[in-house]
Amino acid sequence: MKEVRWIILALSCLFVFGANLAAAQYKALEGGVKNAGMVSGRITLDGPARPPEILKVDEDVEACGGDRPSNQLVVNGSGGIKNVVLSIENVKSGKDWDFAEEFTFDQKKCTFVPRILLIRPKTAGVVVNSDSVGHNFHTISKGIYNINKKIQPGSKLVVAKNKIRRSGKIRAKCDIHSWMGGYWIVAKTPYTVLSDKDGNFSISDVPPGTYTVKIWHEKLGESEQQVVIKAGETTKMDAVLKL
Amino acid sequence: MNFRVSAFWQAAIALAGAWLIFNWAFPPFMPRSVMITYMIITVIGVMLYFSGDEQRWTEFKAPIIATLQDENKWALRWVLLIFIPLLLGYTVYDAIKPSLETPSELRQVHPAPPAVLKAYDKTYDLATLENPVRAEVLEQLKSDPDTAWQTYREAVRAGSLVYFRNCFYCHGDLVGGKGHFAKGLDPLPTNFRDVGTIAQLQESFLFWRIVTGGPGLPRSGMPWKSAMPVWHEMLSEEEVWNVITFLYDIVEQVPRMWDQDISKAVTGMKDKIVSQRTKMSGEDIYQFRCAPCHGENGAGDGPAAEFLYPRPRDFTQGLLKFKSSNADLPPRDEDLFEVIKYGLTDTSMPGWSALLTDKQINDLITVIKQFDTSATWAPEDAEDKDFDDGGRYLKTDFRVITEQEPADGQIPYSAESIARGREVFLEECKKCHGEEGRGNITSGEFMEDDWGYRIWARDLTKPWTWRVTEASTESSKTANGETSRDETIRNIYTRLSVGIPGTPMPAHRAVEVGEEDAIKLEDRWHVANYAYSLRTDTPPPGRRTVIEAVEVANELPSRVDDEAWEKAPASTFRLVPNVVKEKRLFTPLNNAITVRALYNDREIAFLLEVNDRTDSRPGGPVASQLPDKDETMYSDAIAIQFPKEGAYSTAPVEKPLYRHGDAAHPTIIWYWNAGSVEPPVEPRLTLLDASGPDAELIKRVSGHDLVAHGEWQHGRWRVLMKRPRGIRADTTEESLAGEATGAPDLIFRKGQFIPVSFANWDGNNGEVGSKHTLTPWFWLLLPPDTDYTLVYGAPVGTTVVAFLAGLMLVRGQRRKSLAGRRTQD
Repeated sequence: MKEVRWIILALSCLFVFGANLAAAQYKALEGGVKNAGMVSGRITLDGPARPPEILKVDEDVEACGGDRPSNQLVVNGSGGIKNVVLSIENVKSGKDWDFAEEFTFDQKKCTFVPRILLIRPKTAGVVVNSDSVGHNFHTISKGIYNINKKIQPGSKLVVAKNKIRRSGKIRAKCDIHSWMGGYWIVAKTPYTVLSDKDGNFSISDVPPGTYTVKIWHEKLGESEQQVVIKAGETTKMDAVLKL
Repeated sequence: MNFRVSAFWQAAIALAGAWLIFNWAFPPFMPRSVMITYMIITVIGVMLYFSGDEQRWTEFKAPIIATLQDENKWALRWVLLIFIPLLLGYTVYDAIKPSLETPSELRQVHPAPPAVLKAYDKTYDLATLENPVRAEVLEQLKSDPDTAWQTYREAVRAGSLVYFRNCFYCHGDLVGGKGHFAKGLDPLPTNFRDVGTIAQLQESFLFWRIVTGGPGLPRSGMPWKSAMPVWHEMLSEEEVWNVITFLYDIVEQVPRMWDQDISKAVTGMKDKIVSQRTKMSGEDIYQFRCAPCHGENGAGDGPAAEFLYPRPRDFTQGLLKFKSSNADLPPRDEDLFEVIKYGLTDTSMPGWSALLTDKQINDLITVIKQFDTSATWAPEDAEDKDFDDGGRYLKTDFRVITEQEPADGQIPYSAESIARGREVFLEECKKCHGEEGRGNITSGEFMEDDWGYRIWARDLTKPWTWRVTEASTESSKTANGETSRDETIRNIYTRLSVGIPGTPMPAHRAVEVGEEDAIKLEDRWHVANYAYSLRTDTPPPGRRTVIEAVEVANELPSRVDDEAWEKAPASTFRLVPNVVKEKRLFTPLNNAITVRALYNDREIAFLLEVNDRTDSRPGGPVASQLPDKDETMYSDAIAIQFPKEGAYSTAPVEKPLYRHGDAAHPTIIWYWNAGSVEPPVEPRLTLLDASGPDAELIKRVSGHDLVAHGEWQHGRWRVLMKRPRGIRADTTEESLAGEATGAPDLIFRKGQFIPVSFANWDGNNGEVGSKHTLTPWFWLLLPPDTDYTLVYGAPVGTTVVAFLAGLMLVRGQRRKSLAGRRTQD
């Protein structure tokens, strides 16, 4: 019995140490990144483009507008997927954060705008309600930012600067209008981007090296690709995601 | 000073003393008849004592004779002359007035087991049967104690799993007979912690009771014929022995054993366990007491979790429902403490105060904080290295929240405030809580908690299901009346202000600078007052066990909203799911039924009301979006059950078995089904003949005389059922209930207590067939006709006769006394 205890103790120490090393905070280099490279590419959907799912609006129809196509999975004519999150997370130091200092997350016609919000930790912001009906803004976030507050028409919810301290995903929902969906992505490093409406993305100012790029889409899930970044060059990285 | 109590007063004191002892020393109370017998015996005893000796007898008589004769005692004489006849008159009235007292059910504490038991294709001799687990442990203990203890612990662990997946719904977490379905059963489940139960019994007795359940009891145990399932249908022999071993282990008792050596060895093991338990750390207590529901790692995923609604809390996410801190903060330690100590009403979370000390509860709060993986309790300046890979904070300097949500500006409870509260409620709360507050979501949205489990808004008309909020729960330290009402309203206000984390219930008070309150302060108080006022909607369960039918002169109502129903008193009974017979239901949504009954000379009608959040009929407009994703949608249904004529008696009480009766006590079920919208099916009425748990129900679909009509509105089904009483209109002679059915199933006679029970199916909760909720047997009474000449004449007559007799006695005694005095002169 005793031996087992020691092994468990040793293992947990190892874990703690490991976690400690892996979880080291991102540092911005003074004077920017030298010999930086870039990765860019296009994320597409495997198979023919399907018409988006139609969301049934059965509550507050007047204020919200009628049924609408879902904006969860938006694919253009040639298969490019919008709102894919691409991130290089194992960069320990690199460019300075070039994210907005403050954010605004809107509720318009009972839809979250934007669908995917990309922020960095310790960003202040507001959740506004541009509708003529109330919403309850409810997040599910593994403790990164847990809130569930009613926001009346024309009113707002204030997110103080120190509220969101850890990186990760915050799912936003409204329990009154269950079709409303969105995510806040709290980036771990500034090397985190969203694909545009055609599925294109680019991550710039990456120090040379070999990295893992995480690819995440709220409906299509998570995958990874290895990329090699060379000084002054742009590495191509395309990905095909499956439904 | 030489003080001596005279003989008469000695006798009076002795009698009063005896009465006090009989009345108070035998909990809960003695039946009246026993009390009368005992008092008569006492009176005879006292009289014998005082009349045995001439001097004592004279001394005893002296004050009585003095009162009758003495000149100066005329006032007392007259008081007694008037008072005693009045008392006698009242006693007579009390004895013959129409009584609604239910037939008393006397029980044998432990009915005698049979000599042999047949189960599992074997025959057991109950006199010699022993727990094989214990036998094996004791055998190993002789040579290899380590192995013995290991065998024992494994059996207890396996037994614990059996208990928490099968038994604890009724017998409870505290093994005290107070599981979350216990209140819906009669007789109540056994309290194993009571030293008068399993500690007095042999393990073979437990084996017999578990294996054959309520139906296996002998006739003498009739009132104990409980909802206890026939477990050999659902558990293996090994599982039964393991759960027996577990039961003695958890209550720290030793079964009754005849062999002294064996008993000593078992007691030795028990003493060792007890001494180990006194040294348990918070973590040990958690694993021992809490893990069966909340899981080894606090993720709300213990072995019992899947059978529970609401589900046990997951401690990893920092989302705890009930808090008195503001919307942006985790709960205060006091909130956690109160929930552990006093439990959550109408859930499987019991109040642990019976088993845990305040210090142990505080230790558990630290354990709960350690399970968190969402940095809820870590200090703000905690560094990444202070967390393990899974996100658990490794130090112990957890945050302690001290800031309390303000509860200032309380607005007095008044009609105006309630009216304003309703206005705000309709604006802000109706979408989830329904127009009348019955928790019937009107938006048709499927609501889920933060873990993706289906969840429903609270029915605000049932304060007896409110967690923490209702001040009449044990946690309330205030007095009754207004203070507790105001406290309840404050608690409602807090829920409204801070929300219920992990659920769709949002906060309505602004915390951050720059925000404004979603509902402003005064209106939050008005809403709280309104929510409090909703409790008058239906009476709470448990107040009445008799449905008192009311006679009407003319036609019985044919509509559910007829005013005539207001004449009939409402009785509410708890509905609990069928956990006794496969396929079983564990997570019901509807929890009570309110019943009223009216009758005339020909028919009897019932109004059944069940708060049901959904009008579940396949293809229905709103309800079709609400069923759980994994569940099929069925039709709502409701039923009344009676024993058939001759299948019950009240003296001694004999009732059919729980649920479907038995061969000797067949029942008739009046069943109404809401039908379906698509494909269109009209509501249907069926009479079902039941004759036991294993007998198939026999349907009488058409050609019967049952009439019914149901309506669903604002989260409530109201169903009317009507049938002839089985008595012909023109005479009082009993006759056929209806031409089509032959002999009447049951005759509804005046003055007769008739067993009755109810069942309900909530179609969108997957309830169909044996998956349903039900009540145990209650009584229906059509009150007997009152003979006014007798009820008032007899007492008045008694009083007059007693007064005259008294007068004559006094005159006689006075004459005697005067004569005596004259002689002396």
